[in-house]
Amino acid sequence: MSEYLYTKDHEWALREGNNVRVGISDFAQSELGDIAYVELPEIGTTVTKGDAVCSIDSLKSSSEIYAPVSGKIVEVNEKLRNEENCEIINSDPLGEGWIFVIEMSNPEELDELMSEDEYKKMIEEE
Amino acid sequence: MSYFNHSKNDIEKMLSFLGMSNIDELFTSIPEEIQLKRPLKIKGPYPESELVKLSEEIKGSIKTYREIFRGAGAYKHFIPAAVDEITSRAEFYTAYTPYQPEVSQGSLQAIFEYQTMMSELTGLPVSNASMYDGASATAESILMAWRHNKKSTVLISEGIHPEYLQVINTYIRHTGITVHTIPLTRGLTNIEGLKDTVKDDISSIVIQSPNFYGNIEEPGKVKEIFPEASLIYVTNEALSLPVLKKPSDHGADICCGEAQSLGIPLSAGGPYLGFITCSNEYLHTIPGRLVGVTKDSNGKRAYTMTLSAREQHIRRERATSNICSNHALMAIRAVVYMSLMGVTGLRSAALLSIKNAHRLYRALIELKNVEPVYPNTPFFHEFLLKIPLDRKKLTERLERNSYLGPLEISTFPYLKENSTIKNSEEESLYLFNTTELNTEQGIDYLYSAIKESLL
Amino acid sequence: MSEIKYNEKLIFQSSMEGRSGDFIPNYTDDSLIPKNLQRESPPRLPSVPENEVVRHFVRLSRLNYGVDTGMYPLGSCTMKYNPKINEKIASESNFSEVHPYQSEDSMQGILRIMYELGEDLKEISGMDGITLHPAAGAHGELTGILITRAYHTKQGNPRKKILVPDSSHGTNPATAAMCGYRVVTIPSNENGTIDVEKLKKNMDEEVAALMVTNPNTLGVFENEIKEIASIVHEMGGLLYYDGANMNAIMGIVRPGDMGFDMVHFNLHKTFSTPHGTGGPGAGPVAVKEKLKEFLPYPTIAFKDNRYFFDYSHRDSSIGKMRTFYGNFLVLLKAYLYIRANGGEGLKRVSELAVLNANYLKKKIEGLFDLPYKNASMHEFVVSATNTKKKYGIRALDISKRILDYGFHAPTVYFPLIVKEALMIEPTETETIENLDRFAEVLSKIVEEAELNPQLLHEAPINTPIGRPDEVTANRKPILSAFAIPDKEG
Repeated sequence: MSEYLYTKDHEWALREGNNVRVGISDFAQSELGDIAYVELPEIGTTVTKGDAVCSIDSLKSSSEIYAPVSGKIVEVNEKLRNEENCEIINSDPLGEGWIFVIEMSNPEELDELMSEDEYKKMIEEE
Repeated sequence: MSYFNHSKNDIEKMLSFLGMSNIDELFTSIPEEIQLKRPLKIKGPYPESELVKLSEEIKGSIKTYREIFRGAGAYKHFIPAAVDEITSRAEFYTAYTPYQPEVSQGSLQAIFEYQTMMSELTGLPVSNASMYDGASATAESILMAWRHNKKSTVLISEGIHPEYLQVINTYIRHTGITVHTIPLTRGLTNIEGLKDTVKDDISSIVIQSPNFYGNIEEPGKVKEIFPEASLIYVTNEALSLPVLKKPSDHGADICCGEAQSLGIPLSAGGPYLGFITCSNEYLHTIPGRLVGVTKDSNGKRAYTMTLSAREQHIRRERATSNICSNHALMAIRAVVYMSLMGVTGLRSAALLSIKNAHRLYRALIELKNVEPVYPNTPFFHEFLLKIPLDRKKLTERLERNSYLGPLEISTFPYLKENSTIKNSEEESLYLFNTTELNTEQGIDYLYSAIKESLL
Repeated sequence: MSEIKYNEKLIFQSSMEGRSGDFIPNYTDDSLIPKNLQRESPPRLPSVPENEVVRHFVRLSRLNYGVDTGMYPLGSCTMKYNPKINEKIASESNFSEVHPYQSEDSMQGILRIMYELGEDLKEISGMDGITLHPAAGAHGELTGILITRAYHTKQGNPRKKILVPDSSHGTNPATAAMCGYRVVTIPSNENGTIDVEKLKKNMDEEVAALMVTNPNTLGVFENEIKEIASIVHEMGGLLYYDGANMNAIMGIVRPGDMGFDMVHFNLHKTFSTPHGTGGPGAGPVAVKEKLKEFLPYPTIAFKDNRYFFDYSHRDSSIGKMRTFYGNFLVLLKAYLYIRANGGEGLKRVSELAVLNANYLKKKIEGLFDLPYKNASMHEFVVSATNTKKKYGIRALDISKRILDYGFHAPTVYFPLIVKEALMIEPTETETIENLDRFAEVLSKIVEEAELNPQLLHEAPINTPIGRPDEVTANRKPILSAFAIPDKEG
């Protein structure tokens, strides 16, 4: 059973102790197309669940990534600072293509997220 | 004169194809009660010959001058004939925005070359494909710096063109950004005086060089006091760039302003050519279009617009600016001008402008009661003098021989908010400019006319 | 379209030291500027003789498609013919050599042109006041929304939101955000027009304005506009008209009569001024009486037989949007176009623009999906979802193949509410033969989609370059010749 949890805005969240690693789903990366630039958040930023944390630009679109839970940004995927590496979000969205890590202030918020099965169902219906 | 080519037959044929008998049937989706029930009250139609007559009539009430001695952000420089020739080619001026790069390589490569040259002139690696004019480019640069460092105070030199300051205020009044102006001392931005200013919240510092009064600034000193803030170097005389110290060597993060001097005629004020160049740090926040070079599917070199995700058609409300159409054809005028003139030509234009200005200056200050407002301050091709003059006499002498004299600051409607001028006498201040197009005879004539009109 | 395939070298690559021409006397004495204020090394600009510069740019121009080459059915762009007499007159020195800071007396003709143009645009739109300052449509929108803010601020509350339909052009929400407003998007209904019920729900006293294009970006007339205007006005909001599609309605209906408070015009669309590879255009803004005091200064006035710059409303004005008075040479061309047509002619322009679009729409009936079935005006939107489903051919592929047939592609992927959108606007200056030919080309392409889809994926093949690698261009942007890593040509 997958441990990946999902938001309705196509972010995934993976719990790592008191932290949550965040990225975008495979569906999202395919919708966006070739990713060209990620505007990474600053480490130390406090975020509330639902806040826009950073943005991702592809050739023909731009999307904001929202915080699936509240807390503090403690890590960002430094690889993504080099635009040439942005393609890892396309090729490995759930693995090497992670974007940032939040130290949770309110772990119960995880219960409000969708399971992988629920998320798969949601995108099928779209 | 109409530019459609439908004969009566064509129209009937098309209507019949649509199963209609009357053109009005095409407009039934417009509610009857709002439709206009009378003809538009607009003069015309004029066949082409009548348009020519009309323009001749209008030209009769427009005066142009054989020589001009005022600038203030619009400079009459020599434009080689080939500039008009090339930009009158239909493939350039009737082309659309290059959204389909495969059929727009001409536009794209020309703009890429323009970007390269602006980069070279300012020393900053990123140039966009043009903005509207120097004032809006400066306002957008301030917004760029604000987006980048998220701080909310901007310091702007009072040496900036007064219209620019007003445009900046219009653009940023509602944003919460606070503007403080930096007064001038001896005609130059008093940067030393800023040492005691609180440094934390400064987003950008904006200094124009040469400034509105013609004086050459050293904006780099600002970086010593405010290393964290963005230095925005503004110029409205692009021909100063091949001669003066590069904006990047001053530590400028952004260099913006007006490039009308690069092959664009005076045009009663527009269209001109706003430009923005910046360091790589600001790449993702610069407004406007960017042309990049890449390869096509056959490995051939290809130009295309790039980083479009910054722009309004993709980011919509999160865009770096709302700008869509720009002043591309003016940028093409500039790249053709710079290609023709080369460095030697550009420098000659600048240095001759300076030579003429200094010659005029030295002659005028010898006259009784003529005072330089900023003696001993280095100036480019503009300078400010205090001259008690019989204005009417001078104007009449100059008009008689088709010369446009200096700009009288006191009649200039934009200087009311400028403390530097407010604090001195508003009367009898004149801003002189010369370019490479001014002649010895012209300068001599102006000198005599002023001498004869002294009070 | 030409079969020209050459790659033109960069101008820098033709540079040979000491070869620049003498356009002005050569002068090198820089002693009048203190050494410490001078540049240390010269800029790396090319040194190329005049004839080679001319050849370079002439060859570049031949790689371009323009409206003088062929039809540009670009929806929302109104790529109509650019009259040559306007180009000729605008290049005359009486207009091009005028310094913006000359006396009013020496500029009466200039002021007259601007004044009369303003009066004509007011008449066309049914408005009371006008500014010619904005340099483009988006600049006009910025002006209009800043006026909106000033108006509401004077009433006591600048308000917080701007409403835009989901079919709006990207400049609308971008403008609203630039003016400090939060954007709320109003969905379209199944007819493709603004959903009036949803509008009612979203309209409140924190909404400063609703921005509307009419006909909208689907080419459909917002026929509930009077009700829409009431809803907005009842809550004290303002109604803004994005004039991009004005080519459909001149002399037939006026935004002022529809209930709009502000209008921007795109002179480079409706009024035939050339597009110039992306600009310059002009975006004048006309307003109703109650908003006149906020217009940028100066406006142009006429009194006692004299034209002059009017600064009298300076205290209430939003300020200035740019230096000087407007893109005068562009304004001049629009002025001449309006005179050439007269009131009757402008009405004819709109009638024929709508006729051409409807004719073309019916000609290509059945080739693509038609997402919205209502009456089209001067443009219409079809969807390539059918070819995508059946043959894997998207709007992008179709647009690229159109280039091979010597036409410019229509607008694609806009408005956002239609998937695989192709927005087609022929304009009134195209002959029936051109429309028939374009319809034939589309028909042929759909056939090719079925029989030879690979061809469409590889298209265009008859243009100077094939599809550029935009992914690399975006990930590794190279924006200057000196940033190109390898030394190839």
